[in-house]
Amino acid sequence: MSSLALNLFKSYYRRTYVPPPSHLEKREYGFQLFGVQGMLRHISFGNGNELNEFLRSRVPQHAYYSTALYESPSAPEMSGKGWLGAELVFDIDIDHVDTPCKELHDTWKCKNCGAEGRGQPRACPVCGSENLERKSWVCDICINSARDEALKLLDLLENDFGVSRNEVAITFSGHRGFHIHVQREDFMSLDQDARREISDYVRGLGLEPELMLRRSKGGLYAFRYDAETPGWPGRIARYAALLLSERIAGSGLPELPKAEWEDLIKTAVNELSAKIDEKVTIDVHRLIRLPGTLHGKTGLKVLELTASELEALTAEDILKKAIVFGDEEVRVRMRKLPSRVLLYTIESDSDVVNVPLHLALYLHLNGGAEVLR
Amino acid sequence: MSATQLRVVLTPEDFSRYPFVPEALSSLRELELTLEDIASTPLGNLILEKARERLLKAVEGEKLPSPEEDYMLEVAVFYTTLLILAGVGDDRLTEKFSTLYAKAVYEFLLKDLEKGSRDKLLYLAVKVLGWDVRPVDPNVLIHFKYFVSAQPEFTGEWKLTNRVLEKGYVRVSWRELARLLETGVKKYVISLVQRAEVSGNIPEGVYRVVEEVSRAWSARQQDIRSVARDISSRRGEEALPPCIRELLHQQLSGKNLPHSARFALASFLLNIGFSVEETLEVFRHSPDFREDIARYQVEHIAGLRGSRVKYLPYKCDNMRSYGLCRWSCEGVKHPLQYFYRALRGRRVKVKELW
Repeated sequence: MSSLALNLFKSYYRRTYVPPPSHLEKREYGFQLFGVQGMLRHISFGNGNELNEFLRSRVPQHAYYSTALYESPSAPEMSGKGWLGAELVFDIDIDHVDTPCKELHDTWKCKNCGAEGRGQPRACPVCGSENLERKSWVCDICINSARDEALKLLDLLENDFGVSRNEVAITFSGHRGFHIHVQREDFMSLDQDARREISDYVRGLGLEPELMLRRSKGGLYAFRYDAETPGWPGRIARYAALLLSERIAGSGLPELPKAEWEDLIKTAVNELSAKIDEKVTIDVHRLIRLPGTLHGKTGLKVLELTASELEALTAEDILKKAIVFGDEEVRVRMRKLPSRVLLYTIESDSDVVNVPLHLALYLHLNGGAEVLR
Repeated sequence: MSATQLRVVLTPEDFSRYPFVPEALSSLRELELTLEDIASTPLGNLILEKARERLLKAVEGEKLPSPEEDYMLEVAVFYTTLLILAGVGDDRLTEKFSTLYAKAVYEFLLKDLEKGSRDKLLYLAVKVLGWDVRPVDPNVLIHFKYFVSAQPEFTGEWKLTNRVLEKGYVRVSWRELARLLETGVKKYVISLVQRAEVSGNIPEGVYRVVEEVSRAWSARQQDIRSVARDISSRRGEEALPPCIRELLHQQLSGKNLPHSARFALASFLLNIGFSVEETLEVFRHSPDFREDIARYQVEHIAGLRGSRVKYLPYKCDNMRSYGLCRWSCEGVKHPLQYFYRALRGRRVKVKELW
């Protein structure tokens, strides 16, 4: 099947022109080829045709480009590249979010005691070891949760940071999440400290409830801000008004004991913050998936979306748009088949199933499924 | 607010306090003073001597002398100081001088605020530093990208997460704007040194000062290195977790650390058995070291004052969110845990996160 995967990727790149990213010639590209360990890095292209020629002739399993722009992107050392700036990028990965579907498709095996099971436990429930071998899968339920996080992020970017929806480029990663690229030239020069502050802000990290409270009579505390206040204070006030609606008499929020406020604020932040992978935002030399190419673990297309598409499309729509291979039936054999994957529910006690080609490709790439056709 | 909307009349006194503003530099051009003159005329020698005096103060980490009342003289001394710094070419000395310099500017800004001259602050922010700042009574709005480039702390009230942020703008008080300007001016002065170019040869007289300052600086660095050696020989630097090692190196190289970093380092050292005096010795190399304040704070952390609680360093999660740690040490949740494991001879696997 490996040759089939390679052939399918080859057929895709033969019929597809991958749109060149902005500032194409100032970016570094990285590729992982089928059956080859390690990554080809420090590659650059002069124009879109060169890039597409490379994809057609080398047929990479994974394709990445830098969020940073460089004077000499192909210089082998970071110090020689001449950093010119980097896009502000956010990565939403469902690994960072608890979803109910993980029980349906993710599996683990403890490297310490050999126990195995479904879901994504933090540690082995038998022996407590954190040394687990995990296999994770993506389905429409995962994509929906990731989409919710992406929408929260868009709201934070727009209302708090003043980044309008047409200033962001959104990508479905082809796997378990979304990448959000802020396309503002004036943010390109932000340093790592600045990016960490932005990342902490959208995660609600470092928020100190005490700064939002005011001591009142009888040992109770009042929330200092109202629902009209911009930013986190107003967001928390609106959430609190919702939770406390039965206890609100008159206009303002009630006064509560400090501990109760602190719990409530913590819950609000947990609910309203965007679950991003902060490493991606902070790193100013990051390589990230190139839109229009294929994700080498799933065979799905790395798909560009506008903000309104993200809002309007369901997880199912997004997956359908990202599926680029046909649905002719293929017979595969695999142990521990996920019961929910992509758009499909697999109900089979047997290790052998008939599935559409694009699902067969995913089962093969990610789970080592054997093709019996 | 755009630069064109802002009209501020700067007085000679302002030029003397803020000699880095472009208008002050043009007054220097009127003087038609060349580098040759600085090395060879009585006025030039006076300028050179004052620049030398300031730099030697900076080497020792002491408060810089007050600016000259004659603004033409002040501007000339200021730019000569920058030229010498460029000649020495040591980033840490440049940082140290700029930190001390910006602290003095901050004091003047506060005085301007007391007098009600908010326009001076706006002028520096908008016209000199190019910040997007808008006065909205009784506060100021500043675009977040300038706020995050100048915030002095990454915790508490300074943390962006704890600010009111609306459509890209952070609400700050005028006093806070002054504090942000301190960082802004520091970075601006550093950039002036980096951009300073001397055409032709440096005259002998100026070169002698460059050499003297370089010598004094490297002698000072020797002292610092001996403190570092002391720490490594007594405890073994490998026993320090990567975050603390990094903070220690930055501290000993004279970098100006934020409060959270100083707290983390001081509480760590005190907890592994450093005395108050030994801990103070480490902090003596801060660009803004003041024995009285530092001693008070270190004694407080050591539990000798105030609540009489000996403080523990932050745990790893907090170190990371304060931006003081970019590593993951396997099985370690607290920096002290790393230290004790290392002392027992156990190797801890360290991964750099970003």
